[in-house]
Amino acid sequence: MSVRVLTLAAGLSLLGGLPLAAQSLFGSSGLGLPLEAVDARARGLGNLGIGLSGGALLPGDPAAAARLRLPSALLVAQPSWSDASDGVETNYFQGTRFPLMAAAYPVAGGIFSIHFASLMDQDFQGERVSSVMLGGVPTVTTDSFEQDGSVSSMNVGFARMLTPQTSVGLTVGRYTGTFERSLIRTVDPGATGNPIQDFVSAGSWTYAGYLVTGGVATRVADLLNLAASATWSTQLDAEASATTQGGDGSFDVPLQLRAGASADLAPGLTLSASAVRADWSAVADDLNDGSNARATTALGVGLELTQARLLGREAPLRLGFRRADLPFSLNSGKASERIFSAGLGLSLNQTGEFVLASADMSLERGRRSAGVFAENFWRATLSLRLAGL
Amino acid sequence: MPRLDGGADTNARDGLLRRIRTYVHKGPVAACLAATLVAVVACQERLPTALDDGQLPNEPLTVEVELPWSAFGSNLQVFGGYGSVSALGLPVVAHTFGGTLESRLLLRFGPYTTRVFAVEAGGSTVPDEDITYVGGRLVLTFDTLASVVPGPVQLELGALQEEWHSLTASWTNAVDSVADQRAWSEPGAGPIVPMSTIIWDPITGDTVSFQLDSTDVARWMDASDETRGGRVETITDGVRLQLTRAVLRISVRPSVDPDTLVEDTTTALLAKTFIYDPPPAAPTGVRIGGAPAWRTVMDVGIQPLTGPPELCTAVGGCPYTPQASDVSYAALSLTSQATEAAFRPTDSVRVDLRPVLSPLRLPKSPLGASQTGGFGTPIAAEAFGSGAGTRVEVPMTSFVRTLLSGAGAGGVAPPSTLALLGAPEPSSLTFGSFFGPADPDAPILRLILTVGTPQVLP
Repeated sequence: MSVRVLTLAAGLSLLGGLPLAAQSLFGSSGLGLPLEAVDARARGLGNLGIGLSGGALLPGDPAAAARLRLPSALLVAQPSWSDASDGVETNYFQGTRFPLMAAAYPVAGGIFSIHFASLMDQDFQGERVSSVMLGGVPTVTTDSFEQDGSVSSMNVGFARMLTPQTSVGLTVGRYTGTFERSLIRTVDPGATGNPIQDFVSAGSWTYAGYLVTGGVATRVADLLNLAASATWSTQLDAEASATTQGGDGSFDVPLQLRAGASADLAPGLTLSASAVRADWSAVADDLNDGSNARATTALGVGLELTQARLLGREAPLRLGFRRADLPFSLNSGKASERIFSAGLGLSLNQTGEFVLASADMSLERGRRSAGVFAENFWRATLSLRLAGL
Repeated sequence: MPRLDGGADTNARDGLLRRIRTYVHKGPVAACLAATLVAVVACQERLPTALDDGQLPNEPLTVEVELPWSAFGSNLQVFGGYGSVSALGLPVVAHTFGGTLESRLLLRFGPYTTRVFAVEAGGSTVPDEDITYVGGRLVLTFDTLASVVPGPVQLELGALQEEWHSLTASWTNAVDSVADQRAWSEPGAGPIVPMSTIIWDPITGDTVSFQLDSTDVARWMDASDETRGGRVETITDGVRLQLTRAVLRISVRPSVDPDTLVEDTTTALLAKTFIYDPPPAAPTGVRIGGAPAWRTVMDVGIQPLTGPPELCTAVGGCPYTPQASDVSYAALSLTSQATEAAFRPTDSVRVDLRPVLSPLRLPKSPLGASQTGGFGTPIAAEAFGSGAGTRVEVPMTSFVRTLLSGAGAGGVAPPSTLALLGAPEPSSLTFGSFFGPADPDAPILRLILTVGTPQVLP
């Protein structure tokens, strides 16, 4: 067991070092854009990562891991294509994230799990062209700004069945990630006829802190799955590097409450719903950029047709919708997002009732908005899950 | 029911077919997944770009500051004697140029060829070492653009009569080494034995050829003779010629075919130098270049700034000592003055700027890395004549940044003395002149500073 699990964990650690590209210009505000570390199945159902039937490796639903009966590993990749507009100008951007990597193994009557999860996305860039008088000549200056940051967490957890219907789970995690900012001013050398060195102002910080998530899940009357979880966190600390002039910082991370349910409406047809609530307003006092911060609520509903088949194999079809408030806004308005989603599951290798390899895909069409600012995006999510390692 | 058609082979075939069907089913799925994964990972990234400047940090301030000499410079000195005339690849021949300058070219050629290949009556080629030197030509090529030559020029070639040392010979001394100093019998590499005189008109081309007879050729035949050498001079007033090439071509008659004359057997040029008189007058202000070369050194120390007002506001008040990272550009701004006519440049002067690593050892201090990439900042020749008063800049951003960064980890203070010199050195008999600290157009330190607020957390 150990060799495989350790090898898998090492591989996931390496993948965790892959560069992550931004997905939204809302990442430029406050602590950035919250990212849900969920798989493609949840994405396709508009789910927030809790309350779905069956076992799952989701950081927000630690009790779901108890339903895994085999050693498992999960990799989630997520490319997105977005265009942002303020009514005057439109920018296009794209990128790929790996929001979740996880592994689980049965230990001591329960399931031990490890997750690498993305929590906040802070990447963006900008350019400003100005003019200064040098030697009596108007001279062009160009400021190139880049912010490269993300908050992630590395979690370990344990879940087990308390009764045949009810399970509990607990994960303990540590915040990781870095935040880097650089502003480079380039002055046109025409004013001197000689090279002019760039002005560089840069800073680099490392995130630290701890979080604990506890959850419970149960199945009622063999029809209804219920789950709830809460995540408590220490302050998110940002420690400046030795060469950074800007100081350290700490941010209050609110208690996050989640609840979800899924019900079998008919054989092969499941309805799911989930909600997440967190009050980020206290973070506003910790922010230097004057961003607004507020309490957020996210809701998601979805339908899953589990008896669909493709190429002779089970291939569940999913539809979903979700709506979420964003904690930080680009302006004084309140930011929110609405997403329609569809998804497909594919069993690649199955022995009896055990799915040894499966892939899930989802495609989302969404819109984030705050006042005149709007961002439309397509987002694909691909999960690859292996079991029985 | 038992199978009658046999057996094990059929079972093996069915198993194989089953496996093939499995792969047929799995193949497209796996291929799709692999392609998707590759597409996902290889997807080109494009970061979100801010739609307005409000999302960016505060704009830095870029200002220009010009410091007068008293605010940054001190202890300006001019040193001469760097390098030697013989190292100059472009010798000069002059007569009363600028009213005073006399300059003569000294040449020494290597051993003559000792054999030729002659064609016998049968058509075969044979080496012939029994040859007779019957004459030759000394061919000189001048740079007509870099020369000052108003019309036809009379050039004279003569044979030197005294031992001379090509690396140290000067107008007064034939040998001027540390251990041996011997003056010419006549200043100016005399006396000589006249060999040839020619009138060269520059409009006919850039090459002049002295015809040599067998006596002239025989005079330079002994390679062990230390007096061996030729002197080229002009007796036309107001002329300064810059030589680019000198070639001696010998004509030989082979013994196997006395009716044939083998011409243009090139002889290697062993030594080439020039001697001139009088030396330049003592420098006033800043002098850079010449041969031997002049350098100007000065101490630099940047005083706290008291303006401009927008800078003081941005940094929270003045006086303000700039930080190394504030300096986007620094340059020494010099105002040119007319160079004395005899040494006035006819081509651009390249000025290099280097830190002086050990000022106490001046004028022999080692110098640091070039601030101009080693090629120098080119300054047009006109700046030292008709265009005197032109302001030129020599960049020194790296020097100022290092100076402002203070002592390094080892406690070693950065160089605060700089040297202005020609690039390369020496590159010409001519030199550039600039006004010095005592003049109204004293050197200025031009700074372009950029200050901004530190990057902070959101």
